[in-house]
Amino acid sequence: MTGSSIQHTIQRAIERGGFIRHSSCRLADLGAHKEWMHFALSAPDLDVFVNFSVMDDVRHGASPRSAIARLTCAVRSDRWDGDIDHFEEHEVSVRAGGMGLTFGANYVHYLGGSYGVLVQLRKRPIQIDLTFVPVTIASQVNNIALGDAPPMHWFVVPKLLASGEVIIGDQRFELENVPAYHDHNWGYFHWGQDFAWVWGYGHAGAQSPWLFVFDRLSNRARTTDLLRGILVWKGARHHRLFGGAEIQLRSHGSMPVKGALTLPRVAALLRPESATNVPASFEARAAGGGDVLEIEFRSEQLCQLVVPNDRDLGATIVSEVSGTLVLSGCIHGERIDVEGRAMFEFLGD
Amino acid sequence: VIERDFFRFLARALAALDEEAPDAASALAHSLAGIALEMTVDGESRWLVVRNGRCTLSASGASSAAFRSTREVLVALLEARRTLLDAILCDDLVLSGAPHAVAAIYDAMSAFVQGGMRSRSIARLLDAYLTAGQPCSVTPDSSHDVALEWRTVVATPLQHDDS
Repeated sequence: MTGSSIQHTIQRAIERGGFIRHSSCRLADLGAHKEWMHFALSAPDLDVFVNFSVMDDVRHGASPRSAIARLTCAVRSDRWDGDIDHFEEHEVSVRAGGMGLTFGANYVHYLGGSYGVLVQLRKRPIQIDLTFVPVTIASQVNNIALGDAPPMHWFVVPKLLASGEVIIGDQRFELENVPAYHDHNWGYFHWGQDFAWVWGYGHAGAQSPWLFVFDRLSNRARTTDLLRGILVWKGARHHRLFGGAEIQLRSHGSMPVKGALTLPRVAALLRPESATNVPASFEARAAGGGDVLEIEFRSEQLCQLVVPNDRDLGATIVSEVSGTLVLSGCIHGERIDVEGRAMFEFLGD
Repeated sequence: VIERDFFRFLARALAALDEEAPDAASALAHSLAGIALEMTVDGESRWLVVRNGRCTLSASGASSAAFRSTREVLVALLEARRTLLDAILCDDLVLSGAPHAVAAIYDAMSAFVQGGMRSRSIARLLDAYLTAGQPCSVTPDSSHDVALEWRTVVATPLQHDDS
């Protein structure tokens, strides 16, 4: 397959799967539709994640068809900074079937085969103007069951190359083809339901074709796994899928909360000096059909998002963690032995 | 809109909590039941009490527990520039009362924060309180360009074996 035809395939996969679903029609008045577009990149001296989300407003007294539009953005150079900005209805442009979102001066658009992301946080000195060029064929995981609720769906573009500019206070970062990650999720569920997840992605160095996406979905207590998977890409193409029975997990220690950023900041009062549920290091070993893959992730940087539960006064903690990655193994007779960077998300109590 | 006065902020936030996050308002009232909390911020005092199942501020009263701090410390805590433990160990935030009352005050604060995160109005009230006294906007503009430190993050694109 030629370079231009693989690029065409990459674009077609995004156009067919990456469009906005939106809560245009309530599912039996369930009223808990959630949808977000997430972009992330991790380099030794810079971490960035941006999340545009639109959710049905299920708070007390909310009018039946109202939604919450929220932009979450955090960046890390020598330390984390970021914020969560909320937008009024008149500031938001979201169209079911469209490929982009506009929240005030911020947007995601998909044009000419690449994503453009512009972020200007209201109260923090952070500006992001990046173009993300997909270099892998997207994958879509449908019907992920979250307990007794309708399933959610996960559209993932595991590798894009980010170029442009990130400004953090008086620092300006110029990015050129930095490996990045994008996913798009949607579904009807409530924060605080009986589920937890760990997902992550890893890019094994700029010159290596290997990359993976990891997913583990469990009950809240993490005593029962509902889903485990490691999707491996080689170059642009999906290369191997390891399923639940093939994967063993091991974690070590606990990452300290000291030095982490909590968003919204006021929520730091709810978690005074506590330990986190983020391991200091994390290993996954997948083996099956003569193939083996070992992932060693060492946590380095932590940002925690505190999301109010929809139906009780608790909160769901979403820990975004970047760190170093060692990837080794053998797939289809080909040896893998590379290092790189990874970002994991631990969601739970 | 700016709001420098902590007690005006708190009174409005309690009213918003009743309207927009009643579960949190109930949890707050439940935690403080039987406690008369004397709150002193920058030397000014009010009493937080539960009446008819609702938390209200009054200008006078008897105290069974006390809270003392300053606007500067509260803003630092709300913006997560300091931690509760640090503020308490430095005597910048003083909680006094029987152990069960101090524990109940922490539970009440947690309920208040949880409610605030669910309320549409409290976010605006909090912004107004935090903004008061700030000298200028932190949003970068073109005038910063000269002083910006440039750094470059470069990576080479993947070599595709498909191409």
